[in-house]
Amino acid sequence: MSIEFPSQQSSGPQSTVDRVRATLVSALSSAIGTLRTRLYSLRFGDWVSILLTLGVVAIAGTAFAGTTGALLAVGGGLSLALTLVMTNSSNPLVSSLGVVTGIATGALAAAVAAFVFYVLLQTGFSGLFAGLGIVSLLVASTGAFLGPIRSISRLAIARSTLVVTVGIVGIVGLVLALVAPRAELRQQATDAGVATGQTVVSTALSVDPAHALSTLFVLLAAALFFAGRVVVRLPVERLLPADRRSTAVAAIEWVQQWRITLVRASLVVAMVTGIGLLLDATVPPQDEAAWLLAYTQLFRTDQLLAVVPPPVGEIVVGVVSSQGVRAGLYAVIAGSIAALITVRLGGALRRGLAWTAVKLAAPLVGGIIAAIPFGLLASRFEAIDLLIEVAPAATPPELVEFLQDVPAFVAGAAVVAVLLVLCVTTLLALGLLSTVIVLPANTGSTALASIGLFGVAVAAVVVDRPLIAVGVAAAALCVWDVGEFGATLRTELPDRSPTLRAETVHASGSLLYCSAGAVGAWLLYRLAVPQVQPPAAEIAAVGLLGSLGVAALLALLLPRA
Amino acid sequence: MNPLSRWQGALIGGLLLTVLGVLIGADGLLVVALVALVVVGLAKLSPPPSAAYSIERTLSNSRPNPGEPVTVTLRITNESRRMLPDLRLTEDLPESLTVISGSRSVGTAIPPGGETTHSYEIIAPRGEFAFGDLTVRRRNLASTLGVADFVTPKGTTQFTCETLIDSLPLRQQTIQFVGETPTNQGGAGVEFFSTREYRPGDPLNRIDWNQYARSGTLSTVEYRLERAVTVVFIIDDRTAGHVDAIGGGPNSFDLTLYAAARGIVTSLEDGNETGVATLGGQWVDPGVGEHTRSRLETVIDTAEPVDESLLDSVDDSDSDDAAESGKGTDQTVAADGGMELLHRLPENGQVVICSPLVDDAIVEYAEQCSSYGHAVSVLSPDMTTGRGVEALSMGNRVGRLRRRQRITALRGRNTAVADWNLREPLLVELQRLQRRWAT
Repeated sequence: MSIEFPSQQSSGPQSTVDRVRATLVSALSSAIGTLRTRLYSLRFGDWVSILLTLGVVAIAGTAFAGTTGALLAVGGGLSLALTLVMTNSSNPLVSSLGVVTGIATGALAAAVAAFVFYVLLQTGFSGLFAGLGIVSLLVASTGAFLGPIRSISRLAIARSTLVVTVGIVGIVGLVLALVAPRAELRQQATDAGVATGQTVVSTALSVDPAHALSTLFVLLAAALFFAGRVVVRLPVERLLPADRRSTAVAAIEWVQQWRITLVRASLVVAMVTGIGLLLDATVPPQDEAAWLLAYTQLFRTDQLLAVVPPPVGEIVVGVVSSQGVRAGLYAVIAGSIAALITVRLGGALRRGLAWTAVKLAAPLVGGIIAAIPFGLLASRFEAIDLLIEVAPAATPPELVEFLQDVPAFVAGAAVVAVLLVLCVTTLLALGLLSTVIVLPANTGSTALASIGLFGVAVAAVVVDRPLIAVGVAAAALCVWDVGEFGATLRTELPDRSPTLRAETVHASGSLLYCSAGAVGAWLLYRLAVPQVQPPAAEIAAVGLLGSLGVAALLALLLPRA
Repeated sequence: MNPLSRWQGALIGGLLLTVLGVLIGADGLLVVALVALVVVGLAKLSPPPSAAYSIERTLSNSRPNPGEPVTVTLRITNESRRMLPDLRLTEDLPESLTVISGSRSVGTAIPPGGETTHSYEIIAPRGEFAFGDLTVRRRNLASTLGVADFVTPKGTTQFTCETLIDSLPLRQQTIQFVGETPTNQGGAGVEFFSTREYRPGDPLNRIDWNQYARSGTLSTVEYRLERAVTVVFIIDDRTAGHVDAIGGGPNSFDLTLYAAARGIVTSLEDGNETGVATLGGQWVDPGVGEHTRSRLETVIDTAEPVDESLLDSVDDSDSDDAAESGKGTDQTVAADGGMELLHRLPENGQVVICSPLVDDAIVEYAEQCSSYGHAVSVLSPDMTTGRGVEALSMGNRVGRLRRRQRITALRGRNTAVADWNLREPLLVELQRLQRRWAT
């Protein structure tokens, strides 16, 4: 009798299936093991912070936007956190599974957006803030679910974005592969692609007064950000003589520091003007908040000319409305991204071609494999019809016609790709938020949860729920206090140091402080606030802009710790 | 006292919302702003942490043996009338000390007049060790004020790790002098061994009179003969024959020396003629007197790992790879100084080889000793025990397997091996070895 070693066993179809199953089980157990390790590493303060956030999200969300809104916020937060963690995994299988969770994130993001839009249509001005409140709930629950990994770096968000984008490329490839053999569909696809490209280019270069100011600052921030990332990688100091290197390094550091400040300032301006323009576009003239329109319309480029003195106004409007400037900024962004990808790819290839290929192929294959069941599901429910129905008016008819003519499965796969695009958009929004606010390195998740809850409190005020606002604001401060305290313990004391007593005492003290703060604030609000008289509208406008400027300045000057 | 910047975000947000609320007349925004400002205000009012506290350090054993766990206990007392809400202590330990249980840091809170204790376990190699200052960070309840102190605690500030004495059972190869080592021979002694037929001349006090009363025949009681033995401890002091402990702590040389020292002193106290040899070339003739004791002590105290040993040529050929390729033969051993040491061993003398068994050279040498008619025992600390680590690496597991193979090979050649698991006291393994010999 001969002994058959595993390496000598026949590799039939059954063994291949077994191997695939074993690999999947291995990836799953690896992910579960990592999750278990992360959960075990949580301290008492972390648990308090996470559970408090989720509790407040559930309660405030239900009171604020009903059970559906609360569930959407919690589900969206969980899905987004999972997508971030899984797509950042070093295990290619886990990162490909991250693309699958990205589909869920996209679906939930679509649901949240639809819900916000619905609320906006129903209630006008206050609906906008109700919508922002739901988004804040989502941000808060994302922060809570990211508690076990604590930090949210921009690099991690960028990596997730890249992985999901590769997944989209995989699905687009699958769609093209299915369409290419049929001549009439191929022609339709070409026409739809050309029309979509033209629409994208015209939208990107659009200088519509309704958004020109805000989008220009977004582009400026993006161009500065990506160009700076390229400059950082240039070995300028090595090209200089030794005696000049220190001066060059100091100059580069100074430029980089101001570049980051400029990026943040541009984003702050873009957000402020963007909110103003959004209000201008959404608040109906008969709404009680219509008086705001007198100020928000000043952000429109066609109104700027009337407000800013002639030579300056013309120059400003000229720059903001120039398609050439926008094209230049796009060129800088695209060139920088291409350079960064090239450099990163070169580095990855130096580390090993096979490993790089596996890392790139994993999300690609993940996207294709995920597109099969989800595409079939989407085709069964005729999701493409819903997608066409809610598509923006600018959607080219060639694209709509093409999507109506393709086989059901291909249309379903296209829906999956759209959901992944929404996931990428959500990730970019999160990246934008973390760039503007500068989340602390070791307490990023706590800061995100706290900021989200604070946003909910502000939104609750606007929709006239002051009691909820007080409770949620106090909870936001408590979450920050307890979470940050735990982070400093982790920084100052090594792992496995017993800290339960200190954390319990601090959490109790924090609850006490925040409860007392909430009660005191409520009493002050009831007693003193009715005495406050609002100033004249002009003073208010100047004060509004001034306070925004001061806040932005303070935020910029804060240390990045 | 340093102010800690934890609330700028809340402060900025509160101020911004206040300005917005007042300017645009949205009084609802003021309530959110007020929450932030009141909480920040209350946090700023939190009193600074008291500096009235004391710390005392105690050790479960201030003169431990190498590798013996020592429990360090810190007793922190709040001597003020206010609570110490946040106290973070970190011990500054010498690098060679390894924490095997618990943590050298703790974060705690202590009520007014109260106290708390924190314990952790360390192991140390040979030597004297002094604890550094404790780093103590204090914060107030709201964590808005903090300060760091460097405190020298009361109580133990240093300790010594040295070798101590215990009994080492020796094998049945004795010399013709009365000693305390029991043999498998009957004769004069204290422990009953057997009875035999009376022979003329036997002492009257050894006649079994009970037997005579029952059967009417004379028989003589024999007691277990206790004789002295000559024993030479061979200490493996080759640098190549030793490894660091997995997860820190005393290395294999420290533990080998410790095991040898325990055996040597016990052997001397049992009246055995005891000598010592090292593979680095040191030699002390077996003896029992003060002079021998002094020389043995000097060798133990001054022993250090050596790069060149009597088995050098064996080292070259006796690595694991070499063993696999069939090298490391008896001829190789016989060709070097290892033979010289073999010739110096006294006839009828027992040999106790003290080595961690991390290579094959020492196994070959044990076989050589055995083939020259010496009863050989091996006393070996198991350096693959892996204290202080959760799981062994793949390399460590391979090392452990190879060491087990060596032990199996030695035992298969009738060489007793005391395999000292570092999680247990040395004495436990020695007792196991004794039981094995008895059977």
